[in-house]
Amino acid sequence: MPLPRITGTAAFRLATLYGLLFALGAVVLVAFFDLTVADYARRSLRDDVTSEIQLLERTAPGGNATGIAALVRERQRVLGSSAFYYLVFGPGGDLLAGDLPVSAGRRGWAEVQVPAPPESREYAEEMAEVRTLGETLPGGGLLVVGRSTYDFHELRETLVEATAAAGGLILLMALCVAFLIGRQVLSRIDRVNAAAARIMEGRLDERLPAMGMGAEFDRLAANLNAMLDRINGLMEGLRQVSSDVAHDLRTPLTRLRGRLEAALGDGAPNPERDALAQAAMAQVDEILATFSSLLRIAQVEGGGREGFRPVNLSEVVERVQQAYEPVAEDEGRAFAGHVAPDLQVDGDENLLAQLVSNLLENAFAHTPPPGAVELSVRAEGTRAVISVADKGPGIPPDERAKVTRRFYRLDRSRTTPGAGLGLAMVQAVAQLHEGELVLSDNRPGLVARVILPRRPRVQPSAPSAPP
Amino acid sequence: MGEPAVKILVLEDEPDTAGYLRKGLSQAGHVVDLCHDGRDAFHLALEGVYDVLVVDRMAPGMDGLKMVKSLRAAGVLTPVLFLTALGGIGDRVEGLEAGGDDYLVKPFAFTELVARLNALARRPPIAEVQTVLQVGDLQLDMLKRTVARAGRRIDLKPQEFRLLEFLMKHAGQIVTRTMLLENVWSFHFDPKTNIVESHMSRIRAKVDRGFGKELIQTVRGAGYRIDASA
Repeated sequence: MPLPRITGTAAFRLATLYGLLFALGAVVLVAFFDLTVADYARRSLRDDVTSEIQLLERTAPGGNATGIAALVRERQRVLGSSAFYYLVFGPGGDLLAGDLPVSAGRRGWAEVQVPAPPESREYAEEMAEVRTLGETLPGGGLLVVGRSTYDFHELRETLVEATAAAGGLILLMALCVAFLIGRQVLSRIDRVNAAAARIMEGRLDERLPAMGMGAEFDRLAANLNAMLDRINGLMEGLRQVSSDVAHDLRTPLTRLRGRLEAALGDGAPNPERDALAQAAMAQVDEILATFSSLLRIAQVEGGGREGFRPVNLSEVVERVQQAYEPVAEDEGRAFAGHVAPDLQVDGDENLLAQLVSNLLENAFAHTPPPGAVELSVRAEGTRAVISVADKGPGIPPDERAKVTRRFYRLDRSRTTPGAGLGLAMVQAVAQLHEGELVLSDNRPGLVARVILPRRPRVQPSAPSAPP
Repeated sequence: MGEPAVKILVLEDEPDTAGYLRKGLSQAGHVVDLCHDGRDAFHLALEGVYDVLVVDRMAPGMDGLKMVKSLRAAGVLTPVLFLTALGGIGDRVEGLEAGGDDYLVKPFAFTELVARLNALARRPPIAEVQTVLQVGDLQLDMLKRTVARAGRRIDLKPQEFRLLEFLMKHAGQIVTRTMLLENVWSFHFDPKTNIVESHMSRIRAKVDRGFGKELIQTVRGAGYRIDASA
């Protein structure tokens, strides 16, 4: 299954969107954590520093600068260098103890840069930030205690990195899940689409498969199927009505015809009666023929392609052409045929013969002799084109779409024989063959072209091609 | 018509049509047995006493199509003519594939039915298929595709040859316009143009003109017949 098809699915987009939302959520969550942690860190640092100062002042022997300096040195020895930074000045401003730069020797909160402790240093000159608090000592002197913010920075950095990684991972997983769901949904929808395509091709008994994607989708499929059942029922009813009408009207007409036929050969010859009976029979035949044509068009329109076989269209056209040659000759009209050999289509040979025959009869009927009629069939790419051109009055452009309707006749053709079903049949047959009827101007006259898909040639498998 | 009686079995469930068929076929000089049920018809036909079967495709008991299939499976080769009110696109092919020999869509002209039944009932057995057809002094060689009358060669176009061949295969019988359309041109529809008449006039010009006796006759309201004795 091609990737763009999957990424284009609603399921894929939805899952991706969810993934993005999750990732965004992770970012927001971490930002909140970060703020909270930073705030906590700041407070805990302040508390640590304040309580260290209190501790030093309270527990130093004598409580003066000298005592504190001694205690500081003692603590530095016990705790190591990284816990607290100190600076102790005597009442005379002389440095008594400490490892902070002398510039940090001021009262109140401040920040100084010191070289980072060797064990956490990533490069030689890395500096660590230290927050310091300086307080005047009782009896003179200054005590400055500081604590590194380096660990908190490290923590925040780690937190951000973890967030980015987690967010990325979530997004990646979401994309994977989206892809899988998209593919699954697509394959199920494809099965439904394939079934729908078969139904459109005329297999009206086909139904959509259950999608297996949850109750709502199955309900949709079931509803569509119920709709098809209903449509099918209606069509069946319509067909039944047509067949009933056909039966109920044709049977008495046939009997009427039979009686007329019997009356003809009954008893003594009676020219007057026979002429009347003949005329009546001709009328009945005409009604029956119209009826048959109408039913036939309906059958073609509602028909499927089950009976389709490979047909040599060239042979069919040639056969029809030869059938009409003496007719054209008798009428004294020029009739030419150009048949490209061996054009193959998939179809119903009999219907295709009728299609060509109807096109010719339409041309003959509307082109008074000696007006020329030209029949041809040729290949145009993947299509076969049957064309019948006449030198008659043609059809005005705005009426061309209408002449394929049943019983539609141009005003000036009211007097020509025929019921106006010929082109409707051509159209129905063309459409059954997935083709179309195109009417255009022959200047003067009409060109009727029927464009049909050609049967794809069976390719002999190349030896290098994979099986 | 001067032809020997043909024994016909008719399977038709509709009483009106059945009665009409019996009356008409009897008047035409044939022996008709009527059947309303497919199963009964199957058993009657199994005895093999009939020359031809007329079968309505839709019959109670056993579908006409199924009945003919069963008959063929049982080895009964009696010619079958299907009658149907359907006339659908695939119906004709379906009928022929089931083992039917001809197919007639209701409504039909009675002359049409009679002509077709004659053609079916008097069909030469497959074993003695001839390669040369002869009517009077007219000869048609189906293998060499040549036609000669009184020793003089006649040139016919392919469709004219096929038409004459069909006429001569049914020499002495009436051949209808529809039968010719179906068998010569494979047209299973009704063209409005007089295709058959146009071709027939050309054949007549070549086969009958200048030979004294006319072999091809027009039977008014029915069709054509080629006959040397008429």
